[in-house]
Amino acid sequence: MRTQQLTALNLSTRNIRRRAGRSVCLIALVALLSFALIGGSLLASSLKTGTASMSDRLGADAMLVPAGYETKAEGALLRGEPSAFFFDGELASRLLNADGISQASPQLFIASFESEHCDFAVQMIGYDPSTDFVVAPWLAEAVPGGPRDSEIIIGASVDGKIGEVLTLLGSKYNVVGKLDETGMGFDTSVFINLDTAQAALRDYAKLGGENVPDGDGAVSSIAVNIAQNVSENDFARGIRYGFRDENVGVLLTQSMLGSVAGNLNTFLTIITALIVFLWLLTVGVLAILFSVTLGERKREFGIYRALGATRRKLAQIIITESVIISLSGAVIGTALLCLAFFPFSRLIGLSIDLPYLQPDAGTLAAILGGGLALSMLTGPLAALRSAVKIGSIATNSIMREGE
Amino acid sequence: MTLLDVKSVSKRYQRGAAHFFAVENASLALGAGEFVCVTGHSGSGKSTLLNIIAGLLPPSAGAVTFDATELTSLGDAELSYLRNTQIGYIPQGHSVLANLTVLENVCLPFYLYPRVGNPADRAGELLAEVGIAHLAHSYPAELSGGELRRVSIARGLVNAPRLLIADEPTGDLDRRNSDGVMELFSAVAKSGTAVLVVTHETESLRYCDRHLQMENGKLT
Ligand SMILES: Nc1ncnc2c1ncn2[C@@H]1O[C@H](COP(=O)(O)OP(=O)(O)OP(=O)(O)O)[C@@H](O)[C@H]1O
Ligand SMILES: [Mg+2]
Repeated sequence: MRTQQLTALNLSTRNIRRRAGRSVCLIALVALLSFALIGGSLLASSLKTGTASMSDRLGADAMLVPAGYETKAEGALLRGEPSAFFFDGELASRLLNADGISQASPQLFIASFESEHCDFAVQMIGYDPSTDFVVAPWLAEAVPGGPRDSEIIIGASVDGKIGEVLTLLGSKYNVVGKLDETGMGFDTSVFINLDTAQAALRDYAKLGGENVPDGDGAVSSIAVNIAQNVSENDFARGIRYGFRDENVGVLLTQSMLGSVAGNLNTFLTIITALIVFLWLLTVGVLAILFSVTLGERKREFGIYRALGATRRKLAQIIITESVIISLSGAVIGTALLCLAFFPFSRLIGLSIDLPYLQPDAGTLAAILGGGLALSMLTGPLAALRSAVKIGSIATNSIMREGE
Repeated sequence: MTLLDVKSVSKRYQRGAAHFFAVENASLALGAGEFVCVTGHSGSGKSTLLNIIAGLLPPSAGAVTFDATELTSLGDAELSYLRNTQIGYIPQGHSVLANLTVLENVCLPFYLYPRVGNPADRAGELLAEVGIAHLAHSYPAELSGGELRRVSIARGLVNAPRLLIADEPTGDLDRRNSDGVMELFSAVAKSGTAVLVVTHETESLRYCDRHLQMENGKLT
């Protein structure tokens, strides 16, 4: 005759299978926990990474844009929504020398559009590599010195490779660099120098683009660092008043960042509170169910005792059962989360109005591993009390019949 | 030679505000190969005494000595090991684990400690001896009360104990079957194992070497 070796592991799995219905519920609970735990952390971490990337990229104190286009400019920067708005050249040069400015550099935003003249619709951003202090340092990492005439640097999500030639607004550009992902509008933008951008603007006007001012030197916005002794609000008021006839709007990046950070913090607090609550709830529910089960199993454990099992052995069986349950739950939950999250990560990012950037592999691994471990811990933690108590309960129950 | 020496053992319990003795000043000596029966009314303390002897319950007073070792001097690990290796305990009532097959139930005491070898052959022999070899791979839910009782007897013998304790092992068996069980205990005793059986049935007493009576916790 043959039998399976009856180790603690074996006995535990048998016990779990015997109470299949209850075991499935417990496993589902832990799966739900690990799903929420890891999902919430991934989301929070992606938003944090996105915000950090944004404040790294937005190194200016303020942006000067045509009044009424503040939200469009914000949309272009944060979400890459193609937009076109312009100052004429004369106003631009006056703005560059306005009071309270310590540093200033112009940008030109041009939207390409779906047509036979363009490979695709993107936001074209013209900047001046010699004066720019916002994107130039970052672009210089990809292409030292920035793009020369007719050269283009493309954002991470733009379809194209270094060495390729792209057609935008009927002109050809050589791709000389491709940027890392930022989680902002820059990912769907392309960068050219200001002279090339002026040519592109003429292409744009020729192809029917609206609002293009006459004459040379038009720009869309001016990135500004405010002088030390001037407060942001004073500066903004000064510009709005000084250029009241020309309708100049001021976009303060700190307040833009501040509102993003504020949203993010609220969001993070809610996520954290939910996760802590769910974790405690899981441990609590498991502990109650384990201890109820234990009451039903007094007799069973009494028999083990009568046959010579130590208290330790009983505790081992109980803990092993709880580990199997929480481990299965945690693995299932994590697997489901990975299936639900990673293929749709980009979609999730797009549907949230916050800068969203998937963290690097190390952080991802830490979140997955940590979430798995925390979920797995719920089982043994919840079973601890039962495991300690069982030794004394079991002894008393053995002599009562049919319990 | 004395294998088991129970000396003036008492167990005191509290019921409401009052204290009472479930076992009072009980003494008993048992040698290898001896077969002793204990009878007594329900509630007279028989199971309590057996649990104390098996080291499952500490006595309030007195001492139990097994093979020159005082049980209260042992820690849980040593006491459990002693119970596993030296004492076969057949608890009162149903004591077969529902999630294991009959054969696995019988083998369970063997597997509670790291051991080499396969207990299945010996377990199969024991099942044959108690007449249920054909049920080896059935689950307890498919067995009758009498068959379950025989499973727990076979299980009590699987580690070849030096002392076999049985708490009403013939409780739900008919005459023929309970005679069979008592004959088996006789044979076990003849092979050198000390056997201590609690029973209600006076007919069973003819099998044992000695008969003790328990009344209100007192053993006479
Ligand atoms: N943990 C306990 N606390 C209080 N009283 C107890 C406890 N365990 C047993 N008793 C009491 O001790 C007495 C002896 O119980 P025991 O189970 O030993 O009787 P018994 O002789 O085996 O009876 P039966 O023939 O019905 O099995 C009973 O009156 C019982 O109520
Ligand atoms: Mg009893």
